[in-house]
Amino acid sequence: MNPVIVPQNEKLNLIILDDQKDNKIQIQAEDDSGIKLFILNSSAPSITARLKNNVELEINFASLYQKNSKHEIKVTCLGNNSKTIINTVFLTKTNEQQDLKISNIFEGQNNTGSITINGILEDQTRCSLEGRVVIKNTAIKTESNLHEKILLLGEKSVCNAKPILQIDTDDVKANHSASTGRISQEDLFYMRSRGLSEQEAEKLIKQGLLLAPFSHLDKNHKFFRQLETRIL
Amino acid sequence: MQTFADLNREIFNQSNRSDYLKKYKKGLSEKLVIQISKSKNEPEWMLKHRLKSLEAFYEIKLPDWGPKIDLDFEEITYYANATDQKGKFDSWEDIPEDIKNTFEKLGIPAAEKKMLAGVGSQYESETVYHNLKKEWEELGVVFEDMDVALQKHEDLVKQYFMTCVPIRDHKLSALHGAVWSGGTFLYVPDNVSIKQPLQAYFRMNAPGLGQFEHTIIILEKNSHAHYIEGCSAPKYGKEALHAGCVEIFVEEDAHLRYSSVENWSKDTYNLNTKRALVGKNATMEWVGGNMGSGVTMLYPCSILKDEGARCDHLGIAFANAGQVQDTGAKVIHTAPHTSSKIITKNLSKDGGKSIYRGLVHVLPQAHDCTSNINCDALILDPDSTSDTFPDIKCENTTSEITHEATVGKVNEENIFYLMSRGIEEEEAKSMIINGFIEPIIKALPLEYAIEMNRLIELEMENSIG
Repeated sequence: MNPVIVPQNEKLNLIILDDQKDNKIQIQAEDDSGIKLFILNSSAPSITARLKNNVELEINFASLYQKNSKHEIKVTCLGNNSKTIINTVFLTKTNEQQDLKISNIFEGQNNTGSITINGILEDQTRCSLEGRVVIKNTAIKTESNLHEKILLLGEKSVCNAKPILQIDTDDVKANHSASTGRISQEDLFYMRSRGLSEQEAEKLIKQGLLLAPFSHLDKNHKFFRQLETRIL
Repeated sequence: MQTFADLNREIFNQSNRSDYLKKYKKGLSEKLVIQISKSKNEPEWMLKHRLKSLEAFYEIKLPDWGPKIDLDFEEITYYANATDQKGKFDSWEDIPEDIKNTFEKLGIPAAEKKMLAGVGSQYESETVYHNLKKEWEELGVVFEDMDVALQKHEDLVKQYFMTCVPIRDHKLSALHGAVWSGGTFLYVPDNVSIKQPLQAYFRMNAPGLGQFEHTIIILEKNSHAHYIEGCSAPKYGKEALHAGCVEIFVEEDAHLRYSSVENWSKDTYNLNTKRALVGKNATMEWVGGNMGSGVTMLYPCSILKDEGARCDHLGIAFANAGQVQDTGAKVIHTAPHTSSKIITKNLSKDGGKSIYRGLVHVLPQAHDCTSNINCDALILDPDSTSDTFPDIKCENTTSEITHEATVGKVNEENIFYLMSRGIEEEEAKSMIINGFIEPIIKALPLEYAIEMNRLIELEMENSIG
């Protein structure tokens, strides 16, 4: 598939649901353009975006119960003053394997970037996550953050998380956080004290984790509705 | 009297005569390894161990990750004794003047009198001084130089030697196994708590030298100790190599704090291996400051092998012009209810490169573990860099691992505020940096905290305009 070029001042809104074509998605964004991608259960092995100046990019990506799924998302801010948001969630069961590599590379100045990865591993599933923020020495005034939160709910689930920062200049703000573990017993206790059963409480916490990155979306948005229906 | 607060760059950079180096050939060979072993009158098993290590060194490749190791192993002098004496001297007075003066300038004898339970001092490949206060000796504490320990406590050394860090761990551990010399052996029996710290200081003097000291620390049940290690070398513009090895065994309910201030010269490759096996309900604390070396690759490792074991890793790395500080921590949780905490503070300045590289691995059987990792970095100018490479592997669903990292520069508003209160810009920056590294500094005894602060100040000199 040829790269999609988003012309100057244009907006691209793309919703991909249950696409099994194994196509790579390549986007080139010209100055002052805007891109919103909503991808649910796509087998696209990679999504790459190269941004010029003043681009607003939002990638909303969800992978639910996909067998041995491998995805790579790579966003490069070549120009200045762009804003990128990458929200990804995944949910696995039985013995599925989830491999996810997300990188945000900053070459221009005054860009901001945010990566969120939330996931739940059930049964005997495994995941390998690599979140990478690269700030080149030309990319002054960059602000970037990366957050990973993984719940291990299966008895034999395994998670390998690598939140990486590579910073080549000083005038930047970069941070990352990663947490891996089970559902907080305190949260469960609190919810049960409010009259919920353990199962209901667990379900709510799982939903919260998977829907939180998309809370800015309209609840009637096709992507949001589909996601909500499938994780309920 | 020389105190740590009086430290200046001159002290570390001063070198003594090194004419004794003529007696030793550069390069590595089986003959050299046999010579080292024979000169130390070692038992047969140790010679076999050395030769096996040498074989492994030739087979194993250098790591394909991390900073470039541009080192010609044939240009290194692997063993040198600066004195004609075999083994240590009995008192500071007997040590040749120039060597004694070096340690005096570094403040070691003064610190021994004032606050230490025991001191070991190594110069080049051999220990020149080793002493433990009588009261601890009477309680069964053994604090010896490693070569002496091998002669006097052979069975104990054989039981532990390179069991925690095996020969084939990596290329440098194999090299270490072949040419190790000197180092410290500390054994603390059951229920003994050594109140004052013990210190070892390693000094390299001659150009192009390699230092390969081996340290074994064994803390038996319910014992406590604080071991401090310091290192330095003058600068020559010729590569030197430090590939020491530290093996620590902390048994049930024991507590060890291991502090080190590494200040090798900026032409030294510091490729050190440090590892601890931590037993039931025992605590291992690593406190480290990496200021010197051209290239450092150092990742102290704790293996939490029994239930309730715990470790803390606190580290500062300062990468100045031309330096690569690739440091971090490794923790392997192999038992249930174990916990770990990693806090690192990296600073880079004048084009220096600081890297945090860490691993936390929770194995399937290690249920109900917790691990917190916090690594912060300050970049002090546009030419410097900072990377963070954590690796978090969780194979257990009842364990919790959290990781946080921030990278940025010194907050200009804070500098402005301090300057508006009449503080000079350089001092203001220094104060902010002191605050940044405070969680690590406060884990050191006062004298060493002063040393570390002074070293940071030295690194910060001329940092404004």
